[in-house]
Amino acid sequence: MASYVFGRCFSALVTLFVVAAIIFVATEVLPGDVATAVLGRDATPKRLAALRAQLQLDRPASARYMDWLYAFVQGDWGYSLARPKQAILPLIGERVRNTLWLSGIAGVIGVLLSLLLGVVAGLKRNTWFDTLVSTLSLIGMSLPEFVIGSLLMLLFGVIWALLPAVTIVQPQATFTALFPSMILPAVTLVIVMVAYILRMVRSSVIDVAHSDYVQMAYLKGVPHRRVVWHHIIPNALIPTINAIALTVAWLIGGVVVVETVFNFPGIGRLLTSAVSDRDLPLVQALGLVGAVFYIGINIVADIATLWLTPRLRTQYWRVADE
Amino acid sequence: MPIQNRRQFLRLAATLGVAGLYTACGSAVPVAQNNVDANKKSTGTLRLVHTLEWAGKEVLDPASPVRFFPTIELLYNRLVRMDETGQLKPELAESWQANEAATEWTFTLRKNVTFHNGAPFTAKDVLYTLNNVMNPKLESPGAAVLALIKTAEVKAPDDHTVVFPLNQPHADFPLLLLHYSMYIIPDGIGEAINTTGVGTGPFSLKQFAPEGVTTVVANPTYWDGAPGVAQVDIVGIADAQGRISALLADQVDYLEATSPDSVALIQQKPDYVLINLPSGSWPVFVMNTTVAPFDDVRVRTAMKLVIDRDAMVKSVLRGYGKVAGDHPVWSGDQYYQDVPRPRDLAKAKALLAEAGFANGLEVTLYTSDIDVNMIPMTVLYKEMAAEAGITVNIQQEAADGYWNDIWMQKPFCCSSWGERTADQVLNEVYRSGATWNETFWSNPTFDGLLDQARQQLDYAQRKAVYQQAQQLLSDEGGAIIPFFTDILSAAHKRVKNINTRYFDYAKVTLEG
Repeated sequence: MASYVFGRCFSALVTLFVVAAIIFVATEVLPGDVATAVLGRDATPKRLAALRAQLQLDRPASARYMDWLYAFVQGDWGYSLARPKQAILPLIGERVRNTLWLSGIAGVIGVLLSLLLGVVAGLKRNTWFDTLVSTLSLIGMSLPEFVIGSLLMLLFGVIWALLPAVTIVQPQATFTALFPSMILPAVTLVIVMVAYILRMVRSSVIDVAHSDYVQMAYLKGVPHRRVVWHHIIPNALIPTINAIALTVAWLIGGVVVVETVFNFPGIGRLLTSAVSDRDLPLVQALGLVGAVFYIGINIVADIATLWLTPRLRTQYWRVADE
Repeated sequence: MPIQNRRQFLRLAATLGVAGLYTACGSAVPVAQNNVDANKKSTGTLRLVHTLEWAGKEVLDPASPVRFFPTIELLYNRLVRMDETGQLKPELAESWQANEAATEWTFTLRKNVTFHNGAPFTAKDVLYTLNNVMNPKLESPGAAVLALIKTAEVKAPDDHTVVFPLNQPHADFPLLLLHYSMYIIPDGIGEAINTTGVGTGPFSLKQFAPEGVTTVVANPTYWDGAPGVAQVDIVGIADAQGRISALLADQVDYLEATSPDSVALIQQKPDYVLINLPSGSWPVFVMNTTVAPFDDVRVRTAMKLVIDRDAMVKSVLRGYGKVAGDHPVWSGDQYYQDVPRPRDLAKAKALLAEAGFANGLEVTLYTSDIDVNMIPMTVLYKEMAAEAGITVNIQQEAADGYWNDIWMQKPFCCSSWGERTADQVLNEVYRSGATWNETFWSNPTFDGLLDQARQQLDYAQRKAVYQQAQQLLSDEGGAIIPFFTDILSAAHKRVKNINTRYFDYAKVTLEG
């Protein structure tokens, strides 16, 4: 087990290294020159020369990459290009905090709600409840998050005026101050997440409910409630862990859109500004933060799967012992 | 800086068109009085929105390329201002006068004006502001506009007089001081101006947070009387849809320069007023006049004659615009020349035949969604041109890199510009060899007219020369300018005195 976890972490580090290289290549080694891309219509020879010097474009890309990565690991994330004198790490800090609040709330509610709805829909297959939940989840899946977000904003923000339509607070606001503005974006994220996960859970529950061992349990007289809690749910959840992990990791991407729609001051909105601003150091840092989240969540999911599946666990032990 | 988004041109960036009529020599503008009224109370909070156009790097130095609109309008004053009707009026200057040749301008400054930090306003502050604009490190957009001032020779004979010597005669020099980079900042403030915003304006800074909520509060000792509202919040919302939602959800009170798409939404709500103001912003089809077939003036004229301009305004702008006649001076400008250009397919065909394209002409038009109107007008142009036997192949390019790779690179493409005064736009975009001469048109007669106009001190004669230049450009130039766009703004009906083009934030009040 320990060696598996160790191996998994090691491969995660390798992945991160590769992702960092891709981010760097995608943003820095563009055809032409970063400086022309950054300056656009304002590219005078003087400004180009100044920016090239600032970005050290005269040095080979590989050397710049190693320096960047080395500094990054040490916690020196450099300075934002567009916002002079602003170090990236503190700039990102409060935004990461806000995004974690938002996606944390949405993630917990979304996962619990989709498990509940998915299990019930799977057990009560072909009832009105199942049909309703399945239809709603199809609708939820087919609507992009900005449509759901705009609809919620129109209904709850503009027409009924129950909640703030967009976020109008400082990025460094307290949780209490930010909370009312988090409700609509969180609900938007929850709707999209639930739609995906519950379909997975539902079909998994149906599969397990029809498996031989569940039939066996019923035949030997195990009470229904016990079959559900001890046989169906634990076994149905294992295949969904990865679906959940993927969806939670999707949250990191989903918040970019949702934060922009609701003007929520998190890393998503910061990323859209950074991209439109061609603030490459900031884009790189945010890209890596996203990658760390994504890979981290996947490691957690893998370990959880292993933990919940004796079959896999023993298999790994055996491999490790040999 | 060409184009950029339309909002910044609404009232200010435009170094100004509307009839700022006055005679250049000898006459001084009447002295304005400080009208501080002790009984007037500032009440309520006005909530504004800004577009985060610089994505959070906004600063309060008005001369900076990333200056923070609309906050700088609230914190500072200029020497001159536009009143609600578009007349040039004194602000921190009381009066001004030119010498006989219009090469030296003397401004008398208002007395008893203080900055938010208590320092008195004097001629030193004007010199400091000008030097800040001209500082090459800042790369201020105002530097080019004010380049005709001999900065090193500007003098302050006393605390309330400034003398500007110019490199060349300029009969409309005071209009140039309307540029937003000439908002007056205190002497010696240095980089602190970026976050402190110390000015002489109706509001002083309380909190600076471009990505969150910036707050300014009424300046009770404002020289022009305490402002109508006690506080103004400026909220940053980058998403256009988000801004409209914030307005309709009553999270902000006023939204400048929204899109025609949102009109229906705003009109449905009885609590909101739509403010529709004509402007001099224009999109354009650019023909490179040095490349065949556009090097033939007959082809250029034919390309202009195929457009049904009224139809284009109606369908592309939903009627929120004014027909233009292939020159960039708009009807609000004091030197505007009306050039009607009705559709004439027969004449277009005849001209094409004369130029050797009797069997039709095929051209490629590059476009992009960089300006909201470009693609619709391109498609419509293709349809209209087809009726005269011109085949227009549309090539749509990414907005990203458009100004580098397509504009001024391809012989026939779309471009778009914000409002400018006649003198500025004709020199900046159409004079031979100008950096932004996108049509590569070079006409010595035209250049001569521009020089002549600047030296002409008689208003009527100056106007006639500028009009002649516009007519020439319209007839022979390489720009196809079908229309000028209106600017649509919206406000909650409780907000008063905000519905004119040059409204003054100090006069805005909230009702109820």
